[in-house]
Amino acid sequence: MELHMVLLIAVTLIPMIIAAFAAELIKSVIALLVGSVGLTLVLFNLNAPIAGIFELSVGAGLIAVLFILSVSLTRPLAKEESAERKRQHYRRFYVLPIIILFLGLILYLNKDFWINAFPFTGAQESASFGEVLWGRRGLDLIGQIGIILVGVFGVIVLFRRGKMNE
Amino acid sequence: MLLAYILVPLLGAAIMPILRKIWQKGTDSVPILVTVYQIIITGWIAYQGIVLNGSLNLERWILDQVLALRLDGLSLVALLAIGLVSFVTVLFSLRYPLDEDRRPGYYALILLAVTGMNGLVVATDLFSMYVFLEIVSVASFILIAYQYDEFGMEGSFKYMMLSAVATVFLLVAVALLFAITGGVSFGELAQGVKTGGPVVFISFAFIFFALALKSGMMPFHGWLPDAYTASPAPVSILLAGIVTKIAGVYTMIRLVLEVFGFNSVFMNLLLVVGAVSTVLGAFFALGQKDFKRMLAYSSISQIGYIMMGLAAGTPLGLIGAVFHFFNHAIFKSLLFLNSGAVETATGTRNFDELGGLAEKMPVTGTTSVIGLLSTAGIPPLAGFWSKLVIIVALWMAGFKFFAFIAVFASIITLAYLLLLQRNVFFGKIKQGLEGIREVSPVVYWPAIIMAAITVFSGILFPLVYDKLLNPVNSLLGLLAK
Repeated sequence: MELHMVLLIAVTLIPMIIAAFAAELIKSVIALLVGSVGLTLVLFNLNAPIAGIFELSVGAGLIAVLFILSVSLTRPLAKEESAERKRQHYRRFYVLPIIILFLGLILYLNKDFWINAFPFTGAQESASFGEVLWGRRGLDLIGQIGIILVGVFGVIVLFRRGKMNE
Repeated sequence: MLLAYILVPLLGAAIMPILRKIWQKGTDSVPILVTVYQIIITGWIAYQGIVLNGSLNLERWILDQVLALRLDGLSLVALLAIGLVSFVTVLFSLRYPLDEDRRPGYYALILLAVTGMNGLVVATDLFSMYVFLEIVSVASFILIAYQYDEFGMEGSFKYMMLSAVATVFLLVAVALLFAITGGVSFGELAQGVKTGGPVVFISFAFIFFALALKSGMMPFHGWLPDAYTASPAPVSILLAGIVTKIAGVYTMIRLVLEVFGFNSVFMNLLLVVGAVSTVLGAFFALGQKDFKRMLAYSSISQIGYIMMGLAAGTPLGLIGAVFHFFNHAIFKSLLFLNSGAVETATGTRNFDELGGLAEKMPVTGTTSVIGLLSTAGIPPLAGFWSKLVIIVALWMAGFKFFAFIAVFASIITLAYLLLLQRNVFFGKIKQGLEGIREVSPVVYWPAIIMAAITVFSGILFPLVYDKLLNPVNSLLGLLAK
């Protein structure tokens, strides 16, 4: 495996792990966004620009809007409560790395079985990232603008009402 | 030209914050202008009959070609229904008590929901459909929770959770289909599914469950009654009238026509779930005491009819399904308009606290009768024709038992809607409601418009068939490919 690919996988995996383990929602969301962008680049490097664009649309676009919308409606905890929660938070994840490693190992050892079980041959991509983004997926970009606007107006409409209630 | 269906409401939403700063009153006008524009343009295309032979000629419209947009008989009906329902929603909202400070944001969200629905209708690939479907869904979550009360939040939360499940199903289906076909456009998918084997069946199952959740078919309807009931009245009109129809029903019809075809396994699944929805939805409606909740279950039942029409797998069944899709958008909006008017005038939707309102609210009472008769399929109203076509199509396709179920459910529909009419509008005026008056014309005019469409599209059925339904026939060419 080439060095840049290793780096890209690291850029994807590290933020994804942070997203799963972070004690603060906003940190999770930001880490998830970075991880999504990393995954997009990995897919692009694997000559799968369409899949990359889809990941960017869903992971960094739509999902992010939903998360930000939800996080904007939450109220931050008091400092002492937040510190106590953080201590409690990490305890529940002690077993998780073992489970993940175990499942990963099983998948790796049986990789030939999975590859043969789903003989997908349809997705042959050759176009460049730019060509896919602007040439083939232009309509999605307009849709993404719509999603961002929904998120913005959603935060304005609900957040303003939340403030009024307080 | 078709890009305007997406860009006009999108720009309308985008300029709301600016308009709020410089001309607050103008924020009411923009959504009205946008929706009227959509009705006029789509009505003109339908009247000209220029989609009769396949889809609209877009030779002169380069951007439409680059973005692979398309308008055919089915999208024509859907765009007209979106325009009409969103127009009456906005009109009803003008006098509805919304926070003035948040009103521009509310209109922007309605316009974005229209953007999403229009985009979904003119798109020709599955992933773009998914993106626009999500615009509609997220805008709907926020609109349901708009009042920021416990019920609104609960309704929105339920919808959001089940919608998230639907989204996962849909994305998995997109991924599987992309993997076996190498593309996501309808053409590529249609070619790929012919040789796809079991993965195609798995994909259809995922898509079916996703869209059944989105449209609220039984047994995937858990979110729907709460979401409809908890929403502000105009949002209920939009949700029940068009959002669930486009998000679930339209998408299902489109994918069956363009990608999966009338495969017997798929159609049997649709037929059974459609029949269950039709009957159980009607029975559940019968037991309700809340105006909007009864209409919510009625919606579940009517969606079942559309699915049964589609599942008949014949041109007649398709025409019946598409016409009932249009009619349901109109008469269900009308009934939700009436429920909103009653709630605005009396402050309640509970049947135990209502009665004899026809005397005090003659316009609302009369339009409600038209809405209920059309829903129950009484001639010569529009609902009669669409139900008749569906029943005949089922019978001719050999599904006689399901044709009988459709007739039986229609009788239950008439029963619960007459119950509604008796509890709310007929009889002696309930104590404490003597002083109420008919709602303002801005509120009852949308109901008059919808009632008029219901009456005239029934009486002038041959004209409607010629201009609106005949182009749907051109879609059948897709099946031969």
